[in-house]
Amino acid sequence: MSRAQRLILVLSAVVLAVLVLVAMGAGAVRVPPGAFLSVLTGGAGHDPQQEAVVLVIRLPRVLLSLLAGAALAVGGAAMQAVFRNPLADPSIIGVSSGAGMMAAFAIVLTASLSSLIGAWAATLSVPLFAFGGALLATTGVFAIARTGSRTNVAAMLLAGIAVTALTSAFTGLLTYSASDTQLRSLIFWMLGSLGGADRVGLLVLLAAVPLPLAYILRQHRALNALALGEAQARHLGMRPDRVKRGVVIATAVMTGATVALCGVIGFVGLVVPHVFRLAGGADNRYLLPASAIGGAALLCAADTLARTLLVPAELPIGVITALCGAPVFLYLLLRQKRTLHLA
Amino acid sequence: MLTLRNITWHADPHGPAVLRDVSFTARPGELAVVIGPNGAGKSTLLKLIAGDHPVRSGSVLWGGSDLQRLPPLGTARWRAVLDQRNRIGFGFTVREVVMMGRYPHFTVRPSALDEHAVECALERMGLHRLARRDINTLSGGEQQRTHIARALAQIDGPAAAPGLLLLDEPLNDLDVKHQHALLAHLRAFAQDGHVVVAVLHDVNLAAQYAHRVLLLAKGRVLADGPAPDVLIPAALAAAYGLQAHVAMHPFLSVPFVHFAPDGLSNEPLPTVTPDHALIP
Repeated sequence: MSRAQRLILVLSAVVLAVLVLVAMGAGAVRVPPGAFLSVLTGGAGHDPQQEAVVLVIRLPRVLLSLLAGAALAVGGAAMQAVFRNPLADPSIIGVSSGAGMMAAFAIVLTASLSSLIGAWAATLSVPLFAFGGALLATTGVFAIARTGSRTNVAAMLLAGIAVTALTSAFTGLLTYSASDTQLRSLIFWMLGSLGGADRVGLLVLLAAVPLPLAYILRQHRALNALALGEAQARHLGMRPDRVKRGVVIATAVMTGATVALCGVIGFVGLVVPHVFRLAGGADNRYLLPASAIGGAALLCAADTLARTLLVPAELPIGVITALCGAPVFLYLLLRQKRTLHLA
Repeated sequence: MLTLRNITWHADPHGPAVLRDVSFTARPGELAVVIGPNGAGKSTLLKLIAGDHPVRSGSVLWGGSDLQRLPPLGTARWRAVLDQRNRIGFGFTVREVVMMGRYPHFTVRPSALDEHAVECALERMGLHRLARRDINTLSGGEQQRTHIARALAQIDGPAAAPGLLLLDEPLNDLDVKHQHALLAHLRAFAQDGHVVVAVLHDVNLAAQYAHRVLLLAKGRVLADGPAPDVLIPAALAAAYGLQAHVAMHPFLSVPFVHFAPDGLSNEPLPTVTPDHALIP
């Protein structure tokens, strides 16, 4: 890793820490950084209301945004490496569309389900169905693209498009048949929100994100070698098929869980790796951790804006990520388009 | 020692054989060069040694053991392959690409030995000034030198066992000076006790640098041995379908081949008067 890359990592981490402090402080009850640290360390520099707000509401929500952001951004960087395509993101393996279809299914059926299985189970049914849908779609994409023990990346790309088209059609059908209330929650889910963040949600992401994330970060050499092509990666002692399978499964699990809990938050997986690639280069040893930090920072900031801009209403976070990130992305693109190389 | 025994290989089971009954041995200390016309099976031969294609008929042995059964990671520590086409997606720097050659040698972070091997390879290929450049902004020849440096870095170091370096048309995109510099280095590298097998198109460069030349045509071995034994008019004519005249190199005691289309008479070509206006 070059000195510039190290510097970018350190600076991003500092920005992330500042954003976390801001996120903890912003909202109806103000919590200055000093009070927040005092809550964490069990000091005396805060009042009980601040402690309750931090521990029950903000801490789970901020941690959730960090985990979700890291999962989406690293998932994007990993898919770009596996598919050797800078336009790839986790949705390419059907995660978002599969989750979307099953979430729509659960939302539309909730009315009839809640009388049958109780309201508690009905609220859980959306994330459960969505997670199942994400894994199911990825499995489908894999099964189509597989011949023997090898997976063809081009076939996988096309299979992803086909599966996305199919699941989107079903989502459209369900949307069409939804009632007005269902439609509203459906649209809110599709645009993404961390509004449902609680300790249960946090525990789910703590179970689903860190391990796959660590696995992908460790594969930086293999993912770099894949950029040379699979035969050359094999000459460098890597096992491309095993790595591709492992990284796709890890991505499906962590982004599937994220999408299931927070809805579809587009743009993070595509743009965060791009920004860091333009800033510090393509080496995954740097790019993967940088994407993790950057994704966490972006989602933390976006969620803070989402819940404070239009109090007491809450904006969909997907709208914020697109509104903040797209101009940055466009600026970088316009500045560097002459030297930009797409695969 | 690399030994190929009776290799026959079909691209598809019902199609014609790409290689027919090819046997060939390369010893440590030897730069072996494979020549022959397009479609002779040169790249296929290299791919069989590189493990890209499964050996179905015949065997590829490395010091007596079946090369294709050796563990891939261990093998990558002493066998490096330069493919005929080298393209890399994304803007890696030259140094990062060369470091990829060291991937078989470390798991998380490169050791001082790995860093040293990368520096040596960069220096050797004259790339140290370009080390921090995005490889996709370089010229074709500079990119090719980067990939060669990657292969050189891969089997650098105090390995007890000899290395195996396989290069498919390594001179692609290189200028004349770099062509000679690379071949001289490959010859010296082989003489350090490694096995080097390179596919070349330039018969005369093969004659000048190879310890050993293998002439392939239509999947068969036409000739195999030191350049003066292989580069004979009859064998060259049979392989390439051209008239071949073998003379001596003006500076060196190696053969130098002149080709001409078949059927051309021995009459001298009309002399071209140089345009003196262009040559001051």
